[in-house]
Amino acid sequence: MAASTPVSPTGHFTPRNDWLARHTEAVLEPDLPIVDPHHHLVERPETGRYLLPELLADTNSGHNIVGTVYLEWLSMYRAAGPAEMKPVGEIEFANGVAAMAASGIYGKTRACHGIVGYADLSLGAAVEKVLEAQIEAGGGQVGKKGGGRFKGIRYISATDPDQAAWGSPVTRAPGMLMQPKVREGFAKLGSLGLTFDSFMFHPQIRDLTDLARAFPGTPIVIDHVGGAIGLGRYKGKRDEVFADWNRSMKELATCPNVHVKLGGLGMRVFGFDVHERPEPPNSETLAGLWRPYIEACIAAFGADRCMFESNFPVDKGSGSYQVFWNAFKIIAKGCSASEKTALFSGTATKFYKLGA
Amino acid sequence: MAQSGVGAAPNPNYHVRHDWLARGTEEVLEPDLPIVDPHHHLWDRAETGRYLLDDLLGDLNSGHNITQTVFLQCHSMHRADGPEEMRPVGEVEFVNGVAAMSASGNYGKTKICAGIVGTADLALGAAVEKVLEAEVRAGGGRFRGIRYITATDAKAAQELTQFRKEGLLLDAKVREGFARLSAMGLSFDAWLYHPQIPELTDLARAFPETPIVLNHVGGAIGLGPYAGHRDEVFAEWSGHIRALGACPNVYVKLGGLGMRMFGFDVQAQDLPPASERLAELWRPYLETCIAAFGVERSMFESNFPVDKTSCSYRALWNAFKRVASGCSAAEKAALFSGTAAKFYRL
Repeated sequence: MAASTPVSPTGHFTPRNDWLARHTEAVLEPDLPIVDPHHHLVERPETGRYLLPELLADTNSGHNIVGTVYLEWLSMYRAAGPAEMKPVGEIEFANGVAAMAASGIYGKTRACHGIVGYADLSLGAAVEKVLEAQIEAGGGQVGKKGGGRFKGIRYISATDPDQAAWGSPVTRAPGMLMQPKVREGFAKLGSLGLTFDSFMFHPQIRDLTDLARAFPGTPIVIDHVGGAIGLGRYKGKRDEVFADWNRSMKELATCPNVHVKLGGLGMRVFGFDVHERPEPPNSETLAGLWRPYIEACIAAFGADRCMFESNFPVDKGSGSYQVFWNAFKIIAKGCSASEKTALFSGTATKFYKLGA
Repeated sequence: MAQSGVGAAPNPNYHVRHDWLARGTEEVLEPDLPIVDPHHHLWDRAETGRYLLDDLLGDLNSGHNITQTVFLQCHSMHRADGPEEMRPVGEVEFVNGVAAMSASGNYGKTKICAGIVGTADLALGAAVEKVLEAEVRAGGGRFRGIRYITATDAKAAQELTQFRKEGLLLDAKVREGFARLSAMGLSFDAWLYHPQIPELTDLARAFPETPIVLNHVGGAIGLGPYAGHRDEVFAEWSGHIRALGACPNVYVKLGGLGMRMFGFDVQAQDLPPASERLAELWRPYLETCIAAFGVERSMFESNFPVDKTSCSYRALWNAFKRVASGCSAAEKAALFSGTAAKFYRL
């Protein structure tokens, strides 16, 4: 990564390899199989390069990463053609990387074994043809559930009135998940056997609860423990935010179709600011900061609906891949073997039907 | 990549010497002439070295105006598991991913891998259809056909290190598989050595509806027992080429002459060959093909990075431009882009 400023134009931290290299540690439970259900691959001026070689450098840094799920991040959209079909390019790209990994020549990790793309749900029912193209681009066949690597979409609805002031380049309308047209599009996911990844901030969680109740047959996962904001007007009010966030998450967990990704806590929005430290954090430090959120999620959803995630390279601004998974393993230390299996691989495998 | 495939030793047929190539430089001729490169590979194996998107971009951006490319199968990224016959589908998925990167516009104007030629085992007979169907799907609209290599030569077996059954294109089961191509609107890339050209002529006559393209001017061998017999080989080769050129469904790729098997041995020189030298060595073969097939069925090709063992991408296309310097504008358009675009429906 060329840029050395702590915050990149994406609004996220810039991964600084020189800073990260200042700390390495022994890998805990190095044999425990891990499916990383959330990472990106990207190469844009504002993100730097994080493609297969960079991913492999992370997944080969000591933990036993058996497979990964690719998450959309505006990568390799088609430059030409109908606007709604442009995100299909991202699926083709990720499926190509998956094929490289599936050749076996880059090691055992089945990178991009599952692919989560983007489609504009506000197209309403017309989103179906985009989703069908994405199923095919992922090597599946429409009408044959379970085939191919394309598993579903993420539709980010995260928004906050202060977002621009934090330096986020994106602003979204509030209440996107409540819009009838978006829900008309959302209805296609269930009929096509697809999943839904949601990313939003904690004051919006109730929108997702409402959506999940309206579509009890659609598998949903809330990304990054539901985005408890620690910036702007929330800065210095961690306890208050936690209480509000925890209430919303408990309510969301009453929907049996909703799952949660345990991670993303290295993102700037959480306000832990470990990037400001002269030395990168060790896993004990991260476990200490993140434990309350992760334990609250596991308590509310149960291990069978929780999955640890790296959210790399977005979270890489706050620590290394090696340290991150050690932090998760420290937090999960008291769990039974079957709970660990669920948290580190089982829930992700089941949710994204990675065996299929 | 950090961990290329392990096990195989570097193969001299694929060993690119960047330092040697860097010793030669020359101006780009006719830098605006649009070129479709209808034959290159992408791979990352110990045996071949790495030639992936970044490496290809380095060549495409070295001065010539490459507007589109076609990927040719080379056993890249075949699936490590699953049914044997479906493993080559992995190569098409991989290449379609590279094409998608290019189609994002983030890597320059060249439409890289706009066409994809995969492989499938024609000896499966009619059962090859399900492999081809999977490749059509995996190609997202870019899959154009297959190459099924039959190149083998008992006399030069030691030098060519290619061991295949003889007469594959005459095999009834292979032809049963071949018959699926035209039914699916797919083309056929043939790679064989000059003594085998009559087999392709026989095949082309049996399947007049299937678009066929002969790779690398039909592989006139210049190694082993053929070394030192260039005139005799040329005479035999050109006779076969003229007979093949009489089949209207057959096209020819003008290139591949940088491969070791042609026996030009330019690698032995201190400096990489300038385009004048390459044009001189290659001209008789290229002109014979153009005379036999006409420009409407002839297309220049880079065959990179295999031919990169002999010359740079810049010198290679300069050499072709020198050979074609007497052609009309329309003929040049056909040779450098039009025929390829038509054959591969780009």
